[in-house]
Amino acid sequence: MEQIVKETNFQSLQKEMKAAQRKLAIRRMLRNKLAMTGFLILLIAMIITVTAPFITAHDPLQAEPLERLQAPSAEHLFGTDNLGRDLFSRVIYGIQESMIVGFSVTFVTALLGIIIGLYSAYYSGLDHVLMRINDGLMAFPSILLAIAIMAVLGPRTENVVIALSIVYTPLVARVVRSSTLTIKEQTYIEALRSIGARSMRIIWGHIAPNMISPLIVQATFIFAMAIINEAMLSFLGAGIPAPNPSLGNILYDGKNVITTAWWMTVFPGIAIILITLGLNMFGDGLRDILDPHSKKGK
Amino acid sequence: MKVKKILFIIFILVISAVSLVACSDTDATNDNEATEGAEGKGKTEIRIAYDTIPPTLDPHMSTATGTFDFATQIFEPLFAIDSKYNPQPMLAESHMVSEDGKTITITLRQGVTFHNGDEMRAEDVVASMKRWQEISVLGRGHLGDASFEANGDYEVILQLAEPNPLIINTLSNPQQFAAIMPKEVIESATADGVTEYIGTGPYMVEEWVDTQSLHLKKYEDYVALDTPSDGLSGTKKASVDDIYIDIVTDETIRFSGLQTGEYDIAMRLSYDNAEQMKSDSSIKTFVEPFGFQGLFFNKREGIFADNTARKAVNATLNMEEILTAAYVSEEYYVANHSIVTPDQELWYSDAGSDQYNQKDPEKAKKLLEEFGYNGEEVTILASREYPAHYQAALVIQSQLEDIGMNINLEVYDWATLLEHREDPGAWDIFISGFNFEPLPTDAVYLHSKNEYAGWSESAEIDRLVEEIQQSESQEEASQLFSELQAEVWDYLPFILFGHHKPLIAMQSNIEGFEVDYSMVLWNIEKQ
Amino acid sequence: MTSYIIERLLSVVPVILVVAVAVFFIVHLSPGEPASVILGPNASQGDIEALKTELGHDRPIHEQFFTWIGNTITGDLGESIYAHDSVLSVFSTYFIPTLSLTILAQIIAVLIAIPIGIFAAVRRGSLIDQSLMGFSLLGISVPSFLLGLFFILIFSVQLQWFPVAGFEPLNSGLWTHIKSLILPAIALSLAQAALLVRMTRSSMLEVLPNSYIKTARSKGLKEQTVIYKHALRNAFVVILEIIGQTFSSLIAGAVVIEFVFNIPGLGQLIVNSVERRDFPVIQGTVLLIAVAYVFINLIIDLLYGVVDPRVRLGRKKEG
Repeated sequence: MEQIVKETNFQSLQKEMKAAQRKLAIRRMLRNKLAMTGFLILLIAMIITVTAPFITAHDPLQAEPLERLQAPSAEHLFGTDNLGRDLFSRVIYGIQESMIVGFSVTFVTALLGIIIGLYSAYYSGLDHVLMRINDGLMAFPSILLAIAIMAVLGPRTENVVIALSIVYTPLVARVVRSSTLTIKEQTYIEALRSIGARSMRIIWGHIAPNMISPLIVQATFIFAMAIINEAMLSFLGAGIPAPNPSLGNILYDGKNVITTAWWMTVFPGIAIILITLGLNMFGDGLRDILDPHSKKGK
Repeated sequence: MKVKKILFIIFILVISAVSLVACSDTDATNDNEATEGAEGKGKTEIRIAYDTIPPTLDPHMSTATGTFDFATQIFEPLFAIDSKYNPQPMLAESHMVSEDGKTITITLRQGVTFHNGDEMRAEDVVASMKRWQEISVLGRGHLGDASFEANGDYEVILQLAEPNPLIINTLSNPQQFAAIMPKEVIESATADGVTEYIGTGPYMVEEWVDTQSLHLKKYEDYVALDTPSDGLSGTKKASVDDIYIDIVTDETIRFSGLQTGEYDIAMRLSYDNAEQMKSDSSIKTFVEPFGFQGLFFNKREGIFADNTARKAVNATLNMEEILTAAYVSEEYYVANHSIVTPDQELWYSDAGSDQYNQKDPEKAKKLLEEFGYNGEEVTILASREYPAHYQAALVIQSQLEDIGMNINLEVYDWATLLEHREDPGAWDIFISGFNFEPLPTDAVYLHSKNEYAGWSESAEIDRLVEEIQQSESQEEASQLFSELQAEVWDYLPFILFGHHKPLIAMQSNIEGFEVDYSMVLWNIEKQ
Repeated sequence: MTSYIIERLLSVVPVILVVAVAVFFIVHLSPGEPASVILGPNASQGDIEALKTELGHDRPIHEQFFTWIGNTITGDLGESIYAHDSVLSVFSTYFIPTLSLTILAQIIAVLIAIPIGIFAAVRRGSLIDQSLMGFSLLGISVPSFLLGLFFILIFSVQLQWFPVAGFEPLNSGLWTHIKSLILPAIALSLAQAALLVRMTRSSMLEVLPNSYIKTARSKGLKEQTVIYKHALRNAFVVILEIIGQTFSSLIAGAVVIEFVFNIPGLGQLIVNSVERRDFPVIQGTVLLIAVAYVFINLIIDLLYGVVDPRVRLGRKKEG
């Protein structure tokens, strides 16, 4: 009986502390110009993602062979591509595609990473097996691993998500694992164990909540890397299947006409840079706020 | 102080790496200087930027364009095609057919030598022809039970199981061609091809770097025919000493290399560069029909097992739109319904043209209704490695969607597409292209016994192909071919969009470049 | 120390095994096989099956795996199906341009990044520091292949200073070779430099307030000497670490950069081999890259052990 009381007391104290921390974090965040600028860029990208059909006048897939490779004009803001498709629509839908892929990869990676990381840190037997596989996957240059997985699975958007998730899950798992190892040693966890709390409860009720802030920071960087890698894969012809508009696909088509149609490289290129810059600014700012002691850089 | 040690180790590593690099570099430079010195003046060379990687230089092995384009300069067959795609003797002096049509006696030219200096004899021819018979598509198809035998050094006897009046046409097919190589080379060949490239052609292999470049050198002891040069047959001059073929798969780079003068000839350029070339007086273009492009139906599974459904697609297609998407302008395509080029005067026919390019969506919708189309998904396979295929597929997709079909376009790399198209459950239409066959019935996509992807099951087409093979005269064969073409446009194993003309460009001082099925480099002169 | 080295060496074995198994099955499970590529577009299914049998590609997959892994352990990576040459020799031919490119990019990155990083650290918090950090964030956000494309647009298409792709092999002269790689190397190095600037800056910030630096200052050494002699040394360890950690991302970047600039390096080798399904080459190349990566990290770990005995068994367990 007494034990339960102790635990609840401790928990409510913890909760209060967390709430106070959160308030502080939000206030710091609002003052952090870097994070806010990043957030603003992301907000715009998200708005574009949701409203894509309303802000484009042309179908991004409608080919007009007779109007191919036209320079930017009032009718076609960003010009037309090598099949006469409206480039503005394609870039807008490309941003949508990138954001969806980036978000899905981040979500899947965070979920799998936290499960694998937590359990392998908690059970050392499992740790050996999982970490060797982890090391093996991390020994591949990421883009090669992604190309290889795409070759097996075939060119589909879902498969890009799967391939990139396989590439990045080890990264998250590693971060989660090492912070779990530190937390596991802390006295209150030791105490919980000694009073016989169930492992499930310790893992999910006490250790996992501590992962949230490093995980959020990590997630923004994974988001940025996923967008870059999706673009690279599609640029190499192994990503989002043509004719779907994706920023990498537009660059792939643009490479063959780079001497005559600069707009096919410049517009999707700027879109990629802005989104990843936004994510990195946001992530950097977040890290300063949530984890002021950590080193700068990755 | 340990940091100092590490610094030192790294310093050593960098120095040794740099010196290693520097050493190999000086060696190479010396080599270069040495060869340049030896060559002296008066030597001519041309450089070609080529577009695809040939899987092998062994012509017996592959039907790939890269393979025959390269191999034709190095190897020669017994019979070669002229510019009208008819067979002419090359390494053969003459041939005689027996009364029953089953025994063909081929007399060889004397004094022809291989690049290793040995004279070509009947035993070399027999060894080469036997290998070709075993591993080539045509050899297996037409020479199944036939035998080759040497009679003395300069005579080869071909014994057929059945008479085949058109066998010489087949032997002269320039695609996976029946090249003659020395007996030892044939005997040492492995499953993935011969290990040495020794032929009798006007150019010999100086260096072949897989996926990178081929350096051809003039074969000084080449014995030319005295008949005029015509297509792949007749005399071969070889007036250029060295030919360097660089494989440059990126068309932007082939074009810029031509502009800067690094390349004398650039193969198959992007049509988007045509305008720029026209305004450049130092560059001229070479544009001639090369082959056709079309869509192939899956006739084994899915809705296109039914002829009415195939006819609905054919009624829909607007070929000008498709061809413009694929080949940009009328300069580079011919809207033509035939599987042979009009140059093949002996075969060309108008039959079937009434079914071609109907662009009649209303008729198509009626046919679909008649068939009972119910929104079934139609999967189209195309590869972006062939931009024209992919661009055509996009237009076909939108045309078929306009008549209410539910289209799923799947884009793969070529090797994956090849595998997918062997699975009848995986697709309904794929896009591909073919060269013109000198002997049209040799085309792999006609007769059902070839099991070509899509799996035709037309007794009528099979019968006509066989009868053409057995016909007594060219008139009879031509008549039957005309019937065959009409049948193809009725049964619709595939739908042909039209003929295309690749854009080849060269410096204006290059004369004598030809493409007759494959590249012809032996008559090139540099002014 | 010896037992530590042995322990670390042994820990590499399962990693490489995982890579070997993964690469083999990925390659053999993907659709497409070399027989149909060799025979070309006009081959019939019968011809393809016949060649598959001759090449031994119709054997059960586990049987092929054990043959391959057996040969690999004895150091025989097999022969390219197309080049009639051993995988090792094909690999080394294509490795030279990639190596040149990676080294050049690394050198450029270090040359740009270290001075800037130190400068930013010394002027911590100033406007210059902040804008430098802003630039480095931008640098990290621009994927190298995109930078390569922009370079082509600016320097080749607009200004026409460089050919669109003018790769020169090593045997046409070291300087010519390097010159032809400068544009791609700069494109590849910028993200790397951006990362290094941040690492240098933060590690300098860590050591600058340290007591021994103060001592050095109090001894009357010049400020510059203090910074370069004492502080930089420590930063060097961090740089070493970054070089190891980013080796695979540099190679990955090089793969795509080579595609952009048409350089015949490992990237092209992999792309070509995947296109033609040259199984032995794909397997061998990926395995060799992974092995190189693992060993570079191992060496760096060991060097760490030399520098700082405390890290020997503790933190580096994870690396």
